[in-house]
Amino acid sequence: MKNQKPFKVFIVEDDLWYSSMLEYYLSLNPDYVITKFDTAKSFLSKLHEKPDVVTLDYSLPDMNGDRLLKQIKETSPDTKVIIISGQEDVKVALDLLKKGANEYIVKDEDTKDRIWNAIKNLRENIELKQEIEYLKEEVSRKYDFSNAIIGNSPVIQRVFSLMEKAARTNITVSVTGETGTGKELVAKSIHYNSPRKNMSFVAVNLAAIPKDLLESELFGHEKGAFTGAIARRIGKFEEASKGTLFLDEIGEMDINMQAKLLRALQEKEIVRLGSNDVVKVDVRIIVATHRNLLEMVKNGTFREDLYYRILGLPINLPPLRERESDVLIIAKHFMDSFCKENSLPKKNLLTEAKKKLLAHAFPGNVRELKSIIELACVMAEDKDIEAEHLNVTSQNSMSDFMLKEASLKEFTTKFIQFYLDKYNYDVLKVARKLDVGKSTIYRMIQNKEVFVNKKYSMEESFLN
Amino acid sequence: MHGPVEVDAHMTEKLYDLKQLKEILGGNSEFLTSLACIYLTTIPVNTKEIIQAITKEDWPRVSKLAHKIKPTIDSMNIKCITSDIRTLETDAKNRVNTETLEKIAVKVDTVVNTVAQQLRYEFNL
Repeated sequence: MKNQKPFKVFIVEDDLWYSSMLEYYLSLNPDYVITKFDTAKSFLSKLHEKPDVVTLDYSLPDMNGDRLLKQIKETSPDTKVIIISGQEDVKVALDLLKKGANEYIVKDEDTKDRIWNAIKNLRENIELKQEIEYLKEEVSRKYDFSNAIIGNSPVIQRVFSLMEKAARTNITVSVTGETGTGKELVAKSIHYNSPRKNMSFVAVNLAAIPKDLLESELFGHEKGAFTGAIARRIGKFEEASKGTLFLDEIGEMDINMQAKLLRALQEKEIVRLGSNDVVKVDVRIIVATHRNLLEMVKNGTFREDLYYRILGLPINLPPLRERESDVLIIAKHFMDSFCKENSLPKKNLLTEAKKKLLAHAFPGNVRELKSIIELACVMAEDKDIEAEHLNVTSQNSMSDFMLKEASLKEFTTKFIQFYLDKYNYDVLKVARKLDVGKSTIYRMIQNKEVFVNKKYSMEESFLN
Repeated sequence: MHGPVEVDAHMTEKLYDLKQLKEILGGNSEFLTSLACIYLTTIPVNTKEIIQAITKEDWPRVSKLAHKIKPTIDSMNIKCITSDIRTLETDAKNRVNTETLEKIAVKVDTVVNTVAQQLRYEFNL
């Protein structure tokens, strides 16, 4: 996001020679719109235009810089102020900086260069702040419940309802679901819709951190706490202060570490490694796992007290195969987003492609669907996405359809489709492999129960 | 009270040097002319005011005016009064050697007016 607005600079200076020189010099940057004033009165009458930067002569005939600075900060608090003074008075300079001036520059032969650099730096600072604000809004929009999790199925509607409840309070949330169902997305959405949204969302994947480093990673350490601890480092708990800490793959946590985590959650305080000082922490905890924690509790690999501490509001994310009616809605969402992000024309899923998607079990869930759709958008030459563009013949495909409950006829269809995909739609070969008549497969193709790629279709029509 | 000394501008050696200013302005002669006009309308008036303020022993005013015209004197490189303008500013501010300030102010005023005539001549104003 680049700010296209002109950058307004007001020069307030009673020395006409000096202000003209400054105006000329700053005008060398075509982005700056310069206006100069020789009295405080004339300047104040235009302050409502809210300039980005004011260069202010400290000794104006009708008002001193101190009073004028106060008025600027009251009327236009975002305006940056550079005080230009004839006197190098450290006390005055410090006082003015405390009162909100951004720079204090003494008039000498280098003043113009210093003002140039000061304005350049202030401008970069302003643009950076605007960009941060813009990105914050973007993140909020991105994690709005309706944008983050897509779907109309009753199971997902129930998830929405739980997420809304979670966002309203500080309750600990435990998110469960298979890989790729969007557990982190749920955690982020809860955070960015909660009163903590302006503070940090810190995600820690507990499975990715070596056991010996986890304590330091979560609670921080003091300098010299262990070999290699060359400086104090705050941990994830402190980093997420007043925000949300997302502990992903909590089921992978070592049993000894579980005791320390339990203490931190119960007492709402942590002790950095190598320190005796207790640090109070205010974090909202969201945990996630693909494991069955209750089973782990029974097996003795997960502490029961920690289990009940983190259970809070449980949100179970259903696998995509259990919300079949959402598959096409999500596919369209990914298709539109990908095309927009990559400046591609809008794409459309053809009927055969839709059938192919609906026939797939998505063991990788939404993450897999996203990757299939993005690849299809790239592979499709024109606006239509055909079945052949969807790369769903993953190694897991055989086990995929075993995951889904289906009738024998549905299983047969999927089985034949799997072999057609595997053997490049070579009907004779598939018939030989499965020991079925080739006419059975041809009939299924004609009835559109299974599909073949374009090349084959042409051969087929030629044969017919 | 001393009056300004009349100088035959084109006969006298130039008391200023615009080289540095021309470098800053990158050869923008139009803006250089407008700066010369600003000089003519402001600086001689200010030096007159300094002399008047000395007469009234209004030392803060003397210091303030000297401080105000100092950047112009510097950027036009009017070497013969660069230290004088600083003396006026600091001595008036500190109220020291005030008995010598009138003489210095008159010198500054004379040079400023000579420069004004030379500028009129150079820029055909």
